Amino acid sequence: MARDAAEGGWLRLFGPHLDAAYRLGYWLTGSRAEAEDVVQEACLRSWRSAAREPADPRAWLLAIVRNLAWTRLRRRAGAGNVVPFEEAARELDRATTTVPGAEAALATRQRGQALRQALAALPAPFREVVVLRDIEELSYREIAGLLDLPVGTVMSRLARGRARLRALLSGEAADARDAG
Amino acid sequence: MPATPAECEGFADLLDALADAELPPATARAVAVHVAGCAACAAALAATRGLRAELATLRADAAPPALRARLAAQARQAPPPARRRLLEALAAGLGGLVIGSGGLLLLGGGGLADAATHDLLAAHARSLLAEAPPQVPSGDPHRIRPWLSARLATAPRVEEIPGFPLLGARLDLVASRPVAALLYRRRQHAITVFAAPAETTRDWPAAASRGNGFRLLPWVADGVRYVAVSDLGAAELADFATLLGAPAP
Repeated sequence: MARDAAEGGWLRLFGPHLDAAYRLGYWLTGSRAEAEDVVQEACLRSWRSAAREPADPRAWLLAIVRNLAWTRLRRRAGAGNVVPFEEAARELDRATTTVPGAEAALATRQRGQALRQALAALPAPFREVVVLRDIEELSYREIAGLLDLPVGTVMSRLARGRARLRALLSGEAADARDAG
Repeated sequence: MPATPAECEGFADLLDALADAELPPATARAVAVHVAGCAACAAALAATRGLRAELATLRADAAPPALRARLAAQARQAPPPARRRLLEALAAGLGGLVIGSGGLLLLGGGGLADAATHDLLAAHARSLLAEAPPQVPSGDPHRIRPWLSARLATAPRVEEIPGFPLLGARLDLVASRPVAALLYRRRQHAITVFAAPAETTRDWPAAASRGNGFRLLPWVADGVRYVAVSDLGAAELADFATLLGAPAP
């Protein structure tokens, strides 16, 4: 049946990557509703261009989700919610920033919550590299291809992003050391 | 030779690339040599590995079932892709599969089970090299248990075992999944006990085996799969496992 073939073909190509697409959308927009929107929009595009099956469906889907999410972020930037990259890099270097609400999270030992808050607090250019590598397990080369950046830039953004995450989370780590 | 801070600065990004297994072999060896002689870089590398294991837990987030159902319904409405294109895509997929398994064969001489075994042995080796100190350096199970259960959905049994001092715990990655690693000692022998939910670790070794001069002793208890890795003798390792809750042999 043609209908089953359409659904089956599409699901076989993109079904295994919907979770990854949703997570990337979520971590970039910071909103579950917006993540659903960008995944849905990305899938609509996949049907429109159904004549050409992508060689790497995951990379294809993630690239579209990323573009859609960044479009939304830039639109929000007008409202002052998102800072340009140079500013984001300066923000990253400010050593003493703390995650809003981190203290409460640490107090209740909600480590998972603290981790999510710390990741959400990373400036988006660093956050997306960490998400693509440490959550989605893309190689440096795949990330470089997806973001259209040199591999060296991916490497240094990843190192700086993780260093920042460790700093944001180190309050609790010190706690555990003291306790031991 | 103690490393200078300037030298360490040059290693900063490389430590992350080492943790990601993204360095060419010669560079990886050079970085590993530096790490072996530099406590600061060893600690930074261990922290990065721990962070990676923790971030891997966020992989449990899934697209909402309602979204998935909606998209499947919409796919039914979409125009069917040309049969030829579909066949091409399938052929491309098969090509990838063949290349993929060929790569695995070259790397590990086997399939998924060998990948898990390789990771278990590598993670244990890191315990030995002081490249991965415990993230919770505590001998107290009451400190370690909550630390692990705050980070992993399924926390393993952690016990004080007479004659086998508990050194602490950390998170590690085995076959790309975050797992608990408990560090014990018996005389001069290190023992690392890896633990993760049994249903997600069917690719771990099922029977006692040896690799790189270490023994791997697996067991399952209360839905958790454990693998003890050590160069300890078989009898002592079996005793240890039994004391930690392994079914008696």
